[in-house]
Amino acid sequence: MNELAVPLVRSSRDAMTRIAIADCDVHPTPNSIADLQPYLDPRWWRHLQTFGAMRRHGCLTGSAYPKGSPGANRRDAAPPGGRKPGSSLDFMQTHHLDPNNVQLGILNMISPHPGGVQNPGLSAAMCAAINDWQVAEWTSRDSRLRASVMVPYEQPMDAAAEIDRRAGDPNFAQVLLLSRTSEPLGGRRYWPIYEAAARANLPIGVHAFGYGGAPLTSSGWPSFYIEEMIGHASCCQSVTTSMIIEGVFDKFPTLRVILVESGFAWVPSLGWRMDKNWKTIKAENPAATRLPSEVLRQSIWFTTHRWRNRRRRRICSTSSNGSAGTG
Amino acid sequence: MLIESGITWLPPCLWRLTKFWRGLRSEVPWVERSPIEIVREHVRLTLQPVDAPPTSAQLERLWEHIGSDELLLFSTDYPHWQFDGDSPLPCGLSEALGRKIMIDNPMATYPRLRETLP
Repeated sequence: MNELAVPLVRSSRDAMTRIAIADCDVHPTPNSIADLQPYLDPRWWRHLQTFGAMRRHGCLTGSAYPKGSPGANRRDAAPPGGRKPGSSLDFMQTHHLDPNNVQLGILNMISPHPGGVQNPGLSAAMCAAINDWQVAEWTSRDSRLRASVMVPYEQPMDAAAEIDRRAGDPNFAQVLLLSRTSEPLGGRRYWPIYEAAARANLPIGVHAFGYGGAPLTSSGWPSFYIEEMIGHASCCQSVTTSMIIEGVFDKFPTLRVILVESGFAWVPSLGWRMDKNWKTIKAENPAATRLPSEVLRQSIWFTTHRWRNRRRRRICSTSSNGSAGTG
Repeated sequence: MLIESGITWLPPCLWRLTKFWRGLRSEVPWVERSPIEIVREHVRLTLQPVDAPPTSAQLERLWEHIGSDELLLFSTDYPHWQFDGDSPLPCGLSEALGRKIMIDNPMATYPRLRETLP
């Protein structure tokens, strides 16, 4: 744990003179899973109490490796009274939204994101419950916040139905998936999600993390948490490659994808590599009709958290356009 | 030696590695130096297939990111097809960097190369 972390809170008076910002990655979380009970079908609450929610992660509960700090949270983000960081709207307002002048916050619920839970009925029911919970406990209480539609992404037809249910609800600003899925996200089995999102004019957010059943790095199981954290960048490169090369954006040209916490310094290099290979072997999948780097620039955005500030100028000077970061 | 893995992914990978090393090095206390230093000393990459940017100026900038022009070794990947035209060197590469890649770096990397010279 980082004892030396300096709290980033500034005074509210300070915020009055600062530019309003949109924070595209804010994490709400229930203080305990019992917070979701009022929103969950009693049949599935009983199931959850009896059997738990198994992820695609073998017979293991908790995270794959001990994290650097409890829940990977900032120590100064713990609300008074011992609640979990991210579980109190009141504290989030005074600690983050007000002092940093956040006028638009996208809620990304990842603790938990039950979209990859093995039991298909439980996965769908928990996603629906969290969607109701986000509106009741967060967006209806603070007009700056917008929710993400949680979907059971390993059952794309159920996911599309949940998107359709929330399509006309202005409380929701995007659909949320995680990056580690049972197959790369460009695969045809996931296309009903993209079709529904495009129909609802909702962007797709893909947040790093999740458990898809495959080893946590592309060359196998690592020994340490630090390797998992670095591996998220290569996982998100696979996501990007898969969605572009398999033709998702040719099929759904209005679809926008936001990679959240993926890092983005790797983007120029991946674009060059995809372009190089696409030019020589594009006949393999004629469905992908455009230069991959062009699709990347048009259809994919990246959130900035996890960058290193002093590298910014260098990255922008390497990329052929400077529009890599958002949020 | 990383062979046929591409090269331009290395700077962002090392930035990320170094960033997380700073935050999580208590988990791996035997890693006492910055990962970027370790890579500069111990890792080399072969040239083709080169995932190069469109201009040589951008490519030269990448070596600045890495902070060393000693990591790259000339390769053709013969008999596989990885480049257009006659030259496996990315166009616009400076003569000095071309010499490093084709002669100096391989000689410094493989001790037995020098032994075989007449």
